[in-house]
Amino acid sequence: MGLLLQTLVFGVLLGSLYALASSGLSLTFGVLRIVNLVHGSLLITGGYLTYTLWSVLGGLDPIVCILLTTPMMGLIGWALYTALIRPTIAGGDGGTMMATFAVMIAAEGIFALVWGNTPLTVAPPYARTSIALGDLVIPHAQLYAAIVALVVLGALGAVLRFTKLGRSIRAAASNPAGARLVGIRVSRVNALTYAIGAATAGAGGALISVIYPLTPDSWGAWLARGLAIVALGGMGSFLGTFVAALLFGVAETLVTAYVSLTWTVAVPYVVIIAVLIFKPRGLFGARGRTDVSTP
Amino acid sequence: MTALTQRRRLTLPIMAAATLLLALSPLTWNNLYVQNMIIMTMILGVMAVTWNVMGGFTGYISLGHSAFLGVGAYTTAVLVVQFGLPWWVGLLASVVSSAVLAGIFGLVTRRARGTAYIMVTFAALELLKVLAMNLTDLTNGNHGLTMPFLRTERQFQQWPYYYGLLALLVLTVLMTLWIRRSKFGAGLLSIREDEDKAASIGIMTSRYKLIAFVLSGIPVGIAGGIYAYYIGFVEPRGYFLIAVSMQVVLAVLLGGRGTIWGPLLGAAIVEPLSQFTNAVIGGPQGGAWRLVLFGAILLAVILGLPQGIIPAVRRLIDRQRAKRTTATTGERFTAGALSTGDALKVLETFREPAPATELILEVDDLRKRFGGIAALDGCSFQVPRGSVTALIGPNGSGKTTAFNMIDGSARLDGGTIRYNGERIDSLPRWKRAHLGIGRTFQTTRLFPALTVRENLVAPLREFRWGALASPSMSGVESERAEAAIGLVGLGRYLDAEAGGLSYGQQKLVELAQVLVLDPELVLLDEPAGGINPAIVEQMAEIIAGLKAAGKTVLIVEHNMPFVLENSELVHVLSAGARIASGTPDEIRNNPVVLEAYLGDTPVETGARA
Repeated sequence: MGLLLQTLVFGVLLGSLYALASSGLSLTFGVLRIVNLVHGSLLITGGYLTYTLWSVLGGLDPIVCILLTTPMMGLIGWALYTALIRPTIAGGDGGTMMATFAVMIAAEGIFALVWGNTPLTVAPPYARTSIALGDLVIPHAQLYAAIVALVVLGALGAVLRFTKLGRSIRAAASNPAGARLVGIRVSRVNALTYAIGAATAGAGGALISVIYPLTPDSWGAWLARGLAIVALGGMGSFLGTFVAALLFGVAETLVTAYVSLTWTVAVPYVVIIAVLIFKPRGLFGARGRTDVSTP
Repeated sequence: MTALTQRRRLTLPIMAAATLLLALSPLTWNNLYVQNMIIMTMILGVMAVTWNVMGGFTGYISLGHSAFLGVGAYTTAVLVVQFGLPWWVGLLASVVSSAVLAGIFGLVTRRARGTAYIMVTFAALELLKVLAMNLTDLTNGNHGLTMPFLRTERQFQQWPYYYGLLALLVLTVLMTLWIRRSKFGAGLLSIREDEDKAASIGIMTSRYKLIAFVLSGIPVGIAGGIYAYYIGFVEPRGYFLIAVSMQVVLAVLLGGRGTIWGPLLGAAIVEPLSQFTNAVIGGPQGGAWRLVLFGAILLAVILGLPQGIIPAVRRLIDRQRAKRTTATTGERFTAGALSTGDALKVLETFREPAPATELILEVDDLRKRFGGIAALDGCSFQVPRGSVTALIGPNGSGKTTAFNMIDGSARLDGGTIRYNGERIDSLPRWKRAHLGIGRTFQTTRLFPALTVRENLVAPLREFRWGALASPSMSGVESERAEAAIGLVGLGRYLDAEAGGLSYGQQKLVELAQVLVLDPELVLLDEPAGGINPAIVEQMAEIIAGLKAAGKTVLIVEHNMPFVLENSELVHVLSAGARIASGTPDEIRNNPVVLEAYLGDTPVETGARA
């Protein structure tokens, strides 16, 4: 029983971080209708940037680093979208996805060239400490990560719900042509949306860098988690993404605790395949698969 | 057209010459470095050519193609190393395992299309890698399996792999040539262009995809088995590589997706380039630089040369040639070579005689809701065999929705549909096409990137293996296509791209496409909508010809004079139900009908402001 409770708590804490890590993917899918295969690489970039800031600025707290990594990643995202992704949109789903695929492959090489192949971790003072509540052990790092993730997600939700930008984004998502008619500059809104998605990866990456070691190829695991969560939640549904992230965090910790760590890596792939075959709309999505549109 | 046949005539000699050259190369010039490069290029070539069958012909882009290589390699390695079986058993088993994996991919496409399918292939590749790592009893996990040595003399050591792969590559290319030129290939292309429409002309899309995927998975599985022996070692990270998938995608896109020779050309560029960069950028950073380089090249191809080399060159040549010859425009119709009746005779297929029920179609109490709106609300009507019947009614009265229920493009919420006395309302769409229901669309849905001929060869009246294998450019299938296009008088445009025709011409071609199915019941959705009067007249003649040949025609149309002149029975729909039926004369003078068209409230359902 103690193990189960411990596992569930871990799962929820991890799940909150996963929710932040996959929110950008959900946003770019929901609004831009592209499956952004670079998202895992963006998260890792955020993590590496945090590592550099942390080591250059003499142990600056990674949570404080978020204030820097978020705008930096936003800029990177904006540049990426305008230079490489927007030009491929006319070519249809396949073209855009393959462009993100190409960036994803190239990014791994860049990581290795800049930060090397040895695993890097950001180690603030609380990285190895934990709180004990009776039998329950809650590591500080996980707890802080979860709290910060929820705060950032709350801020993102508020922007989408209450600001003019947020209304434009939602309008452009539900009907691009209509949004254009009422004076929304859809192409700029799209670039901003992609930038916001990348910015969430700046925050997510900073938190990840404390808990997981960074290697050039670790984007794969994060991309897989993100795709699994977004598919499970129903593509384009933010509430769905959040719930799916929590479920996913719990599922991963359950497999780690009761099966084996070596099988945990399989969880996202199994989820992606199972969801897309058996429940393509996911838990909350209105539209989970791409149908050949009728003219 | 002459350019096309010229190209075709050159294909086989060029292929034979290239094969001979590759076959003689090791005999005259036994250079291990060059042989290794050719071996690796041939493996990439097999992968690219087969990826093209899925991604280029059928339109399903895969990021997991290297999974077939890994599955083939592991099947062979496990059987040979762990169970001590001979090499040929391993290779045969690779055929089976890669076919099974391809079959699973094919089943996945029943539900997951487009981006969803791309995600599934990525996940499948990674999942297989995890399995190879974790099923240590079979695969020895991360330590891998060491293959036994094949005993050969030193100077011939690479020959078994070289000639094995050469044979495999030649067979694979011949297979794609056959696919591309067969009726089966025309079906795959139509799935790529518009999968739902493909089903409506009788193509059993799921079976087509399954066959295509299995055919394209098996050669890679065999290549995987050979590759395992060639490298001598099998381990998870070396075989289930997404970077290899990327090279495959890059090769196909670079050479030209959907072409026969593009993937080969791409592989012949990508693999030597990869080996060259291997040699030039060595050291610990070499791998990283290669990733950057290949990512950048792929991006450059997607952004700068999205069509690939071969289509780009072909377009240049065609443009040069077009300057010299006259274009195929100018003449709008040519009289059909055959009369409607004769043409329909050519198109006739064998089928069991239908039961001689008086009614070919009985629609009873159809119901369909879209959210809060009842598009069909207890709609019933009947269509007598051999008649020209019309469905009319104001916009939103449910005419097209009724068509969608009859041809199976949408599910009904309630009610029954009987065709020849048998219920068809739960049959899949292609099955209804096979039973003899053909349908045109309000806005034409031809396959725009295909030629008119390819559009006309695609329809399938019944599933027979022999029919799939028959060539699309000659023989019976082509004769049928010519008869159908002659019927609508557009024979000149047989090899033109369908998307380039005028709207009216596209309507006629779509009608011809449906007639290739040899349907008994032809559903025409606004045949006279948005086209010029000359074509409207031609359409009326064709409808009369269909009736004379004993077919039944059901028309949805807004053009009242057209309806009243060309039909013998008219059903009037309003607000999802039938409000009147009768001969054109009766309908013309029916006050209820006038009210439905001119009044501002739906009849009989009561007004609610």
